[in-house]
Amino acid sequence: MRIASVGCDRQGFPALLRFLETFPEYRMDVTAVPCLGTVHESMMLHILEDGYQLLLLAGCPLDSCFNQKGSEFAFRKAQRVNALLTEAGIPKRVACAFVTADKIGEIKRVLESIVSGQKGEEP
Amino acid sequence: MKKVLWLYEGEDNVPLPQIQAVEEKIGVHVEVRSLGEDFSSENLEQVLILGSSFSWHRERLLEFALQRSINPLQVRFFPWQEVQRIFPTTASKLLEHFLVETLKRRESYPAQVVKLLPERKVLVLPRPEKALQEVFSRFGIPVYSPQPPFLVERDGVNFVLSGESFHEKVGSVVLFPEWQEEPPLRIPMEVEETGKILPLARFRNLLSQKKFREKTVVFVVPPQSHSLKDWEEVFALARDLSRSQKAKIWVLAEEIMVAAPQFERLYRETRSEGALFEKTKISTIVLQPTLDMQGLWVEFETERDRYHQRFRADWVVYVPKRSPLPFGASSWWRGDAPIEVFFDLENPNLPRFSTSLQGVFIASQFDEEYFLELAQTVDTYLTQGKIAVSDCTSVEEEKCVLCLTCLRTCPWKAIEIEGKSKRKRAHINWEQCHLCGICMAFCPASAIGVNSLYPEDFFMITTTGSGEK
Amino acid sequence: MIVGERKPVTEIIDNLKGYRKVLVLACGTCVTVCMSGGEKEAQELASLLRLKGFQAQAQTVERQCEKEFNLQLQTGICACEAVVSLACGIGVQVLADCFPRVPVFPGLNTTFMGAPVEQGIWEERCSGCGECLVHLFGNVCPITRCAKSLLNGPCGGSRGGKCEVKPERDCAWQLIYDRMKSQGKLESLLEVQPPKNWSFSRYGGQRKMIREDVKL
Repeated sequence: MRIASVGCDRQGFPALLRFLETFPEYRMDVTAVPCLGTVHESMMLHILEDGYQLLLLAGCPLDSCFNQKGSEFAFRKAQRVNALLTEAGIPKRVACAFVTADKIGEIKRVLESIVSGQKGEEP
Repeated sequence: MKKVLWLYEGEDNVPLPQIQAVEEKIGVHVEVRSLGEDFSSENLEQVLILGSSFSWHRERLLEFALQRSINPLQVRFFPWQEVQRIFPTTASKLLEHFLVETLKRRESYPAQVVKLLPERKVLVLPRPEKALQEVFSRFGIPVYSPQPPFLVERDGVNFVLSGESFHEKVGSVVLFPEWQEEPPLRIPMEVEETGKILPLARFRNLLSQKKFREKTVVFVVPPQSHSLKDWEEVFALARDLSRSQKAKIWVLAEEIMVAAPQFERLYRETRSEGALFEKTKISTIVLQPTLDMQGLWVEFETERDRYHQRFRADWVVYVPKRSPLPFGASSWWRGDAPIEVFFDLENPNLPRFSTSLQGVFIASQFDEEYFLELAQTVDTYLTQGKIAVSDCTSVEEEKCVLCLTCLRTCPWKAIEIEGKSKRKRAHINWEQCHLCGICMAFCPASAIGVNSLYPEDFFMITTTGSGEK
Repeated sequence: MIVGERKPVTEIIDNLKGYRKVLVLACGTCVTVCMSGGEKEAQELASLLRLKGFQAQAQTVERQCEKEFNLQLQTGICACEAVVSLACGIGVQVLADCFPRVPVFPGLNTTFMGAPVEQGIWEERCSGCGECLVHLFGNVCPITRCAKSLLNGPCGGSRGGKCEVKPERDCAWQLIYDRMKSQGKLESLLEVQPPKNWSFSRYGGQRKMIREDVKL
């Protein structure tokens, strides 16, 4: 499964890089944004159009975003995109992981739950 | 030939990328220096910082640009430390790809980084306590608190107050909200009617009137009750009643206050007089009136061993839970973005006491001990100021439909509507803008541009563009 | 302003069966403000259609209810097989009038004329009855906001200030009463309103407004 991920400058992006270092069995294409609040629906869909099955958004925990509500907005937009994708029957998803730069377990947990979910869907 | 400067920060044994290959492929002249060294910014196309993503984020890049007086849009960061550890064989190629893509996307805004210092004066609403004024004066910050009515507006990073006879500029606003007191546990109506459950203040008044000989008195202290005065009083009352009137005293709390100086001793003294201390979750204490309505049954589970306790108490005295009410702002705040109330964001990554507006702080603790911390936070803010970038955002007049979404959504309320003629548009105040890009993400007409935040034009750092990784 | 909601994606995709090259047209006025049919939403829909195998492009028209703006799309329209218009029902029809031979599918369900109550919430305020009498009711329109469009007082079924037909909605007459009371004009509510003259409303076919003095 091709995974793309976008992380915020503060916590998300360093967490993603640390994750890639710690778990070399996972491979993702990463990029950074100043705040997860910058990521909007069109951007998410454009990334998915590039051939990725999953887009992972990594950012500061919801109540500690440096820009107050950036992570929360990203989370809501991700939910909206997922609703559109499900409605249209497109087998791609957007997932969110709210992490700090040194607590990266959440990323693994999110990826694992999606991968196992996908496996469950196979006939 | 374009010149690109690579500034290196990190461990010495980490190999640097191959400059020659890059120079040949892309056609730029690359100079490598370490971060602390001097360099000339003449004819520089780009300054690329190679370091660790843990310590380089946008604000630090802006501070760097400020220090070296460079256009911040020319400063870029590549996480070389991590990348050459994760992709040891292709790291150089990834760097090349990054360089190519970022040089392609060279912005032409004449952006400038500036450090803005607010006025060293603070407005306190509704009125400052003497103790607070004194603390602020220790920091050399004059306190200003005019008589209402007046209006407060923002002017850059400052706040301008205008009233009938005055016009003043301050750098920061401190709000003291109204406090609401409520019992820390549920009091059903029939319990209330016994008249045997009281807040601490009322109980204090009863002391002279009633006799407590051999009566059972239960003190309930809510969690997060940092008020040392309250605890002092509880300890004192518990000791007195135990000693002089042989009353049976219980003190129920989630945490017993022993951390402050002298309190360890007070606690032990109170214990030695016979008062019983139990840790329990306050919100789970159940009260019921006795049949004769002269007392209360108190039921709870002790925290340490889940032992279920039920006994009859003659008096239950509680320390009220104090919570701040959001501070109403509609009568004095003027700005295009409406702010109804201010409240403490309680965000661990923002300065303590922060509200949604930078420079406006709200006291969230009741005690004088916190005045010092509050004054310190304000002092730090006024001294450090704000790093802002001018000429770095744009709102396309032709596209803006004045839907007001950006105005309402901006977390820092930095956007207002400008324009006196029929054709108005949103205007981002660069002094207040934090370059978070949230307005750009929300704008339904895609009219907002923020430097180097391209909605569709981003690229992945971990691909080389040709599909290989 | 006019408020609409995007149609379910499945419905839009079903309508486009048999077409490959699709143009998604956003409208830059009302539907942009209510965030249902603006440029961003058009790009989202175009992305979704591309992921479903269509050749989709997104474009924005300033106002799809003006012929002049639509006619500028001449070349773009000719290059596609079908158009999904994210404008309100008006824009869809005007667009089709301009290009009668191109299949135009609505991408929005146009719902009501309303105002934003707060960011993200739009509520209906006007039904376009053609004879505005809100001033008699403390500037709260009972035709629109009362589920039964009553003109002479509440039905009596409201509970806690909420309507019995749609419990999430406020009872319009509660609002009218509160407003008139605060203005000290409660007595005027005792005047009996005659049955509404619905001939000004849409019942009886489409309405027209003519200004002879500005006609060319």
